[in-house]
Amino acid sequence: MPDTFWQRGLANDSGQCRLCGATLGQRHFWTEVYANSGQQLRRCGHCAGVYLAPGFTDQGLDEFYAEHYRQLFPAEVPWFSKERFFSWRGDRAVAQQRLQLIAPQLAPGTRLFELGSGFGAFLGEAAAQRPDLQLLASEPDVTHCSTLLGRAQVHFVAGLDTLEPASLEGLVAFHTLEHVTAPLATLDLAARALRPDGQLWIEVPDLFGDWTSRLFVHPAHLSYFCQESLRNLAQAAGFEILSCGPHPLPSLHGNLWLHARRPAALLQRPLHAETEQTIEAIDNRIMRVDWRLRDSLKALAKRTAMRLLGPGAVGEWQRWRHRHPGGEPQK
Amino acid sequence: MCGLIAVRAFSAAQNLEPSVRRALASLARRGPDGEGLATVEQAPATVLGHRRLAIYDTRSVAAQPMRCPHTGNSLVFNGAIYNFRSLRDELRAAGCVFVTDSDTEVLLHGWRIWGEALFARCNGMWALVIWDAASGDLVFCRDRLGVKPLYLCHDGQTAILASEISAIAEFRGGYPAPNPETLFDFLVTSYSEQSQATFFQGIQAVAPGQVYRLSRSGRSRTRAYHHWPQPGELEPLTPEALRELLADAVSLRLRADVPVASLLSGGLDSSIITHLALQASDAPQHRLQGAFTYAYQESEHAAFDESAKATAFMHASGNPDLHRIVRFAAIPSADELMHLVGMQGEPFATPSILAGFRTYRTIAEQGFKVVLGGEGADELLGGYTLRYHPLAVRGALHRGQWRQAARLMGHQTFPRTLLLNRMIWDMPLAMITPLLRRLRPSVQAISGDLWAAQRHRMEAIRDNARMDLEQRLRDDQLNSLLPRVLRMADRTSMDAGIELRSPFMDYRLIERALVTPAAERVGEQRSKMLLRSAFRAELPASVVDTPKNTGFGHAEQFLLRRLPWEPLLEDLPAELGNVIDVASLRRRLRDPHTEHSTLWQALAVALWYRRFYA
Repeated sequence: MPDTFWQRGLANDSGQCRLCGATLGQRHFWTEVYANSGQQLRRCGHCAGVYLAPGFTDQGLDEFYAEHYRQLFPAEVPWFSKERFFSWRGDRAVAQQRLQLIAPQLAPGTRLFELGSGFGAFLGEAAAQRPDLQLLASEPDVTHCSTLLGRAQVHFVAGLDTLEPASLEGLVAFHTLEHVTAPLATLDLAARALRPDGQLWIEVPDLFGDWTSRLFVHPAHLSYFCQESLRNLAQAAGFEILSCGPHPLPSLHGNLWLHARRPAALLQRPLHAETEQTIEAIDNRIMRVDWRLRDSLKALAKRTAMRLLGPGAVGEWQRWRHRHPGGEPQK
Repeated sequence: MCGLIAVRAFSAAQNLEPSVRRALASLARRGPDGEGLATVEQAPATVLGHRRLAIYDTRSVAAQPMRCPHTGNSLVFNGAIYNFRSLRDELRAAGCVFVTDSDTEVLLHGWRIWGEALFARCNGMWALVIWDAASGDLVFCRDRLGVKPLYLCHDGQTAILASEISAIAEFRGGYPAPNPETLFDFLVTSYSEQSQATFFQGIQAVAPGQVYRLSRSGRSRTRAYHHWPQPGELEPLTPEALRELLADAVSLRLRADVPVASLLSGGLDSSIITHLALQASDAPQHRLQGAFTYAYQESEHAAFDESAKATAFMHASGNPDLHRIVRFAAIPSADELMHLVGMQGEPFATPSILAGFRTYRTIAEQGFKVVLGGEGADELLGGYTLRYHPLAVRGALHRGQWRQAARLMGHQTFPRTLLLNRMIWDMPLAMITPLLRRLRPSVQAISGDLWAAQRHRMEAIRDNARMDLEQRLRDDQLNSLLPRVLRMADRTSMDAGIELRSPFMDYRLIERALVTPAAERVGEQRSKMLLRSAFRAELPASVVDTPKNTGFGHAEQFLLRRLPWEPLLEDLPAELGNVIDVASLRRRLRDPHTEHSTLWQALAVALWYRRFYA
């Protein structure tokens, strides 16, 4: 965790909600402290979107993931043994569990797309267990995207916007939507790429999860969803929601799971206004997390350890503490 | 130059026209020559409104909103595209047929042919909204620098775009709450333009240099159409190149179908503009027809009065008949001051803008509609000796270049205390913050509540104050000083129905200046050395070699205590106490040592609050 964060890639602060574009009713909470990026956590009084502002320019986002992401998050940096790195992260085990939720609903020969496939664990498992599937994916980190693919034949594309309309039957996005600069535009593209009756599965961290530190908020996660805002977002993109709520897998407690269907007639619309109760609950949730001397000392200790030992060793310690099972959700 | 509004409502169909007409009426002073309204015949409900100040092709055929006969696209536009004739030639070659001699029609055809690539081709100042019939998108955009204003207010169901905040408030039926972050920044630094936020919560300035789209289904998208170059990306300016670019910028801005005058303070920038405009005058619609100088009625302000110098300049140029001097009492009445406050719409950093406000009114009364001014020269070419020279010394000290620092100090171009003022920002925040709170008048006046809630913003303020000279000039030009000047200048000129054109704002000139080392632009013994070099051969030494020490309205900013503030600080809303400690402000204004002080910022906030929330 560097003392100061490279800021040149940040976009203009438009003052607009990242989800619905509203300018009025934006509550400003605190400034992000994980990377000291200067970004501020905000909540929209219209759609209840919670987001960091300002976001990144397109170029800034590319450079962030190419140059800074893994340095900022030591848990993402292998240390000596890659086998142990993935074992402790639990990528394959989590991928198997996700596939068990999804696979029964995929017809033979389904064209399945993973948005932001990370190290490729899900695609690898999908190919192993369902060789009939046609797999496609996008992943900006081209250096690591094949690491856990195994023998999977995956057609990688630059992004959702490069896909033909109505060319997919299934689309999954595990811990991706919170990273993108325009979540609604992403879901619009997802809806466009899916055929009628095509299915969408999304997994994101739950704003109402049990996070207790402001370090939960960092520049890689530009949006923070609750059930209501995630549902609202998918509906605005035209999806019919089949389910949306706490993750059904106990090992992925603290996350949200959305399953939706693309209807025959796609009707995109603005995000609807959320209820006052939802907005109040969000405000209360965020305000519960303060920043005390203890937090500052922990952050300082981590920075010092990173300097002295390097991100690899610190990451190894973090993975050991949170090693799977019961560990953090992975791609 | 005009006023515009565009409204898109996503909720159930509603008749927006009555509210839009009300809002347009509040922009009448920006566009006294006509009013137009266009309702889009597609969902969602969308209305474009326009008040016109007719400059190019004053016939009604060039009125707005203007509709493209080929596509059905509609456009409302505030500003001027100076190179519209050359763009029109290109568009004619592409098959476009024009029925007006206006820049508006060029924009409309340009959008059809070039799409978003249109804006990078334009040389000018603009804020515009296009309803794109094919996509249904509402497209909006400002020029590269944000010379022309455009504000956005969006509550999730209705998006309002307007040239001024007053029109948004008129449409909505009131002003949103004050923005505590902007107020804090303004009271500490005197700047409020570092972000797009305004003094009103939820009303944002549309960012310059970007194309925004708001789709039929409420999707927002933004794309930059312009990037300011970094050093090394272009050739730096030479005096010759600077002169050539500036001459072309003046010539482009001289063309109008209405009378054109210049503001002539008697200083370097306005003399250069007037000189180049006189040289370029060669046709009835390309001719400078007046030069206006602001002066004081009272002899006590003779030190700030440059009218004699301006008179001598106009005589030397052979055009004394074009020169007009307008004289005013330096101290405004309470009514005049409150009119200025209301017209500005947001707190402003100096009462010296009173001079422009008065001069533009006089110019308009004499039948002029376009004025050439020297805005931006000081920011672009380093005109503020007291601001930039201490930074040069601090930079030399930081680099350990003691001899250079001593040499720069030896020029005695700024008081020693100013260097200390700059060096203080090198101290830890824990020391800077209490010092500011104790010593800076505008910070002393911040209420305890606002201070407690926003003092975390000091970190960003500190980082900004630590910029070196190179960064400072770039930031002044693009993020702080110039945007502040542009906001104030737009309101004061447009309130009189005057289109202010600033040749120093020509983007070609700015691009080259931004890649020219700051030290070359500023110089050591005076300011704006590059500019002085460029015009030394053709302007009198009394203009080129005189240090900058005066300017439009210089007296007013030193007369803070004599402003009619006492009756205006009576009966203020109690909620102002959440922002300003009014009792403390009154006490300090009574202090006989309060003349030129940051206390104006606190007074400006109090008067603004009175005008908009009382």
